[in-house]
Amino acid sequence: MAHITKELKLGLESLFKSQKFSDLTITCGSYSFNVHKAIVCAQSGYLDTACRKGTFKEGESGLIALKCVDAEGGDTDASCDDPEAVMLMVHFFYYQDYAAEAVECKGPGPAGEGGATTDGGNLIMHAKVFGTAIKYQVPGLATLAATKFKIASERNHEHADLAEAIQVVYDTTPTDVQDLRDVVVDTLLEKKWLLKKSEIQAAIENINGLACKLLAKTWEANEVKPAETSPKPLAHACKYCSGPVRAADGSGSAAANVG
Amino acid sequence: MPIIAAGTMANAKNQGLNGADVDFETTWGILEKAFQEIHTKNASALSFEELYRNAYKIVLKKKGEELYNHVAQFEESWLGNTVRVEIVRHLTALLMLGEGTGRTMNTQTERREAGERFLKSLKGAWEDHQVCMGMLTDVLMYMDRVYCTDHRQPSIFAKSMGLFRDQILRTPVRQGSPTLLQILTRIILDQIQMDRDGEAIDQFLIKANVYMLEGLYDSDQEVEDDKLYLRTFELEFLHSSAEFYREEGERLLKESDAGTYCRHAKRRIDEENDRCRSTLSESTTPKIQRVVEDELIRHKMKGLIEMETGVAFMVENDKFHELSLVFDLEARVDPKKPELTKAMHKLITELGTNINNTAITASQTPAQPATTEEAGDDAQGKSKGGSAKAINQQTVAALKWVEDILSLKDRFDHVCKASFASDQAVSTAINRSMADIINAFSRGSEYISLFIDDNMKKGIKNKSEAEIDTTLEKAITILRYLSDKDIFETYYKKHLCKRLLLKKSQSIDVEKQMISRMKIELGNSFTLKLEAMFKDMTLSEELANGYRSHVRNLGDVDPRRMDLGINVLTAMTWPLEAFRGAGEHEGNEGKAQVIYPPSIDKVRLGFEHYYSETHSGRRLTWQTNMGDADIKGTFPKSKGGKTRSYDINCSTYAMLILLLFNDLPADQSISLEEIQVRTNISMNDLTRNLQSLSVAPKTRVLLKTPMSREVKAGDRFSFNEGFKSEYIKVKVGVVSAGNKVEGDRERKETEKKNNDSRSFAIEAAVVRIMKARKDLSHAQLLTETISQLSAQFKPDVNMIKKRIESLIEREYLERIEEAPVASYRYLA
Repeated sequence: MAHITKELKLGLESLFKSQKFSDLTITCGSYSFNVHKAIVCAQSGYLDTACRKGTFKEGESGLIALKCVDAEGGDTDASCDDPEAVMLMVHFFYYQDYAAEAVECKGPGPAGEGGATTDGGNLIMHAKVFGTAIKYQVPGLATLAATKFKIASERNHEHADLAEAIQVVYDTTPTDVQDLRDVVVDTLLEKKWLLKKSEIQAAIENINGLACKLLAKTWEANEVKPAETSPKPLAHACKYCSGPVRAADGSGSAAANVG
Repeated sequence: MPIIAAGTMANAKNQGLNGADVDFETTWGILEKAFQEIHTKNASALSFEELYRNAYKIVLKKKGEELYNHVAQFEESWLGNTVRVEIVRHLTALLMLGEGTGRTMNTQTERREAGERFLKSLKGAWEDHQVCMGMLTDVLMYMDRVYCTDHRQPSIFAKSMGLFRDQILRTPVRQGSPTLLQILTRIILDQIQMDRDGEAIDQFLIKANVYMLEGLYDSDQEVEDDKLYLRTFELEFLHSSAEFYREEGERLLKESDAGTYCRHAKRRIDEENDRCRSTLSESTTPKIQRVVEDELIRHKMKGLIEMETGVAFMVENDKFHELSLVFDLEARVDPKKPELTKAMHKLITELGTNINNTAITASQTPAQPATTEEAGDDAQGKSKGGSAKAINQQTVAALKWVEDILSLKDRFDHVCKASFASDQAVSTAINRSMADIINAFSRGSEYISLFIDDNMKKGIKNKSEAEIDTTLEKAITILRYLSDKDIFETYYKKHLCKRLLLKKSQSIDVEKQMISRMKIELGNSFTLKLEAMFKDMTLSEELANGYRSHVRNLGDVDPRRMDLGINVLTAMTWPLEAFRGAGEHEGNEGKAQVIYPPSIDKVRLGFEHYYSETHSGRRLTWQTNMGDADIKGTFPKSKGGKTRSYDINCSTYAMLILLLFNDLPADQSISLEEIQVRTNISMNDLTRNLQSLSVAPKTRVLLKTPMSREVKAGDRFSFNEGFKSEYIKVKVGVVSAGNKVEGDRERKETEKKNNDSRSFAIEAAVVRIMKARKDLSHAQLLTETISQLSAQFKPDVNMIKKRIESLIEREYLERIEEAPVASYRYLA
């Protein structure tokens, strides 16, 4: 994403691989990453705070144990982490990118609910990575994941994973983070036939406020004159390939796309 | 707690499926326990990951509001029940101080130490609170972000700071007693007072508490202007400081001298500046400075300047440093320095008026005109060198006046330079005051001219060029202040005329320098006539030389023929009345021609002939009263001696008189009346010349019978064969030759003449203006006339009005009848 020189890129990669000078260990589930505070704290507000000396335990120990969703004790709510997503986040710290495809091929993962094609599985993983990025305050990663999620949702809206992905989006981020929610609402309204699917209906039923939002958007869209439709898709695409994450109020521009 | 109730209800509806209420209580339990640990400084065992995750979980479950309220409640009870109690425990001893007389503590040291203990405990509480809330903010990051932003609540950090303010500072220590904030304010003020009294205090401790007040706000809105520091402490501080400095200033004015006061005031200002930097807040610096300046300077400046040891005293005793302190103080509060300039003005006016009065007294002392003049005569007769005595008392007074004025100016110029950094405002005031006193003195113009006259005749003798330069500069300096420049011109012309004709000037070069300086200072028109006088002198010299060679070329050279030196003067340029004796009033025309002996008359006619050949159409009038002659006088040998001969220099009149005795046997005498008839010299001049020739002991070429000091009718004169002198050259003095202060009658005449010439100048100006403007209102005409004439003199408005009337009568102008304001029209 950013313009990084080749040398720096290679340098970061070798630091990541060799774990040389590593001064912080992040664990999650079965994974353990030896990373560099200078690199990770610069990108994550959470890690920056956690590594501060003289406050909490982590500042002294140099060890951060992120609670895994499948951890013993069964407390598996949405505030816990998917180790795969954490792994992708750490990967991002050094590469400024992540590849969900690779992950999908490698392990079963919590999302791999049989029959998932390579493409469709990404949808859930992108949502999870996005949630992780929000939780650990990594804005660069959040933007990247949102873009990937959007592209994936356009291609794979017919995929069975969509319903689960929607659930993940609404579970893992606080209400003020609108990026993925907007994508979900837009997708559902653009492809209205999706609403006939039973798993989608279940998801909408299950998620507080989603139905209400859909209704409101439909009404808003009707207010807009059909003449305005043609240039919109272009403007929409532009927003996501170059613009930063917009935390709130994507509705204005998104509404125009519906008609 | 209605907010919490509402929140719970909403959440209960939303989250009913998950049994979230139970979940919240467990999660909050974990957090609360951890917060407790944080506040008791046991955080190092806590896991940030766990706390963050739990707080995040609550936010994800949309229970942010509940969490927020729980935290606030937790902080409130912590601050109120634990922290405050601890601080109050430190306070017990001090409470006595607050409630009682205020000074009950036994010693200052005890009071200071008790205060410091309190400050320390408050500082500790504040700093702990900051650190803990910092950690809580880290943990509650998402609550702040989601809940506080959405619901427009202050961040939990800001909220807890408000709680600190309310729970710690604003709650009374106990029923009916002051709050900690009041006590804190009082203690800091007390400590500052100790600092002012010179006792060492812990500045950092106070600064830390001030820092706390600066970090807190009057309301939860956190408006910059509502800082607790600004709203409470600073007001009190400024108020009590004003009171302190008001008293201190008054006491110092009574008890110490002005110099000490200045030093003290300056030190106090510096101290307060330092105090703001080291102990309080920089933002207070301009305010407290203003307070100190108000109390110690602005309100006290007048008193300070008028102190017994104030500005007058300082000037008198050359206390330049102290004066500069006064200046610095006032410059600080007002760039115009009104009090100081007023004081300078008063001082100069006072000293200047003294000088003026002394000069007037000196000139009014009964000068015994007769004796003085005679004494002058005697002195001039006695010695050429000691002519200083020849100037009469009034002239001395005149010279003294100029010197005094100059030294007054020098003195204040020096003060201004040494103490006031040559400040524009003050030096303007000094200049204006100088001008005032110089112009308040009616004889200023005359005295200045006399000063120059004296220097031209004697002062510049044996002086280096630089010294002469300074003298000239002095004259110009004082001249610059003079507004009646036309009167000065009159006097200067008169004095210059005598210097030139009687060859009294030490150096024509210096004279010319003076003129060119005046030209620069007063303008071309001012020196025009003066320059013309010099031109006449040069032309006359050429003329005399031309005549001399003309005579040589005539061929028949008579060795006995007398040589003629001549000055041809343009009548309008030269103030010839200067030579007229005090008794003469008739114009030149009415004056009877003197009778010349043939030998002289021949030369006179010869020259007139020569002159009319080269300059046709001009008439020469002989001013015999102004000339002088060199004669060789031969006296027979006395017993045992030899024949003596002397070169006698005397006036033309004296020469005519002496020539009468050439053909007279030594034992015969002529009466006064006879001399008058034979020479036709006016009686007045005659008596004076005879006095010089027969009474003055050193030049007694004639003998008078009866021998007495006065020349009276019926006196007879004969040749003094026994005349003796130490020198070969004898100069016979003429009484009215020196430039002296005018007598009353002369002055009246000068004034009259001056008024006449002013009338002309005004009329000319009015006509010039009207010619250009055609129509003009009365007021505008007055203004323009005054401004046109200001280079020469300050015209009197009444005089201008009279001139306008006169011009209307003569039909140069007419009144415009229909004009709304009085106006005139020019009649071509």
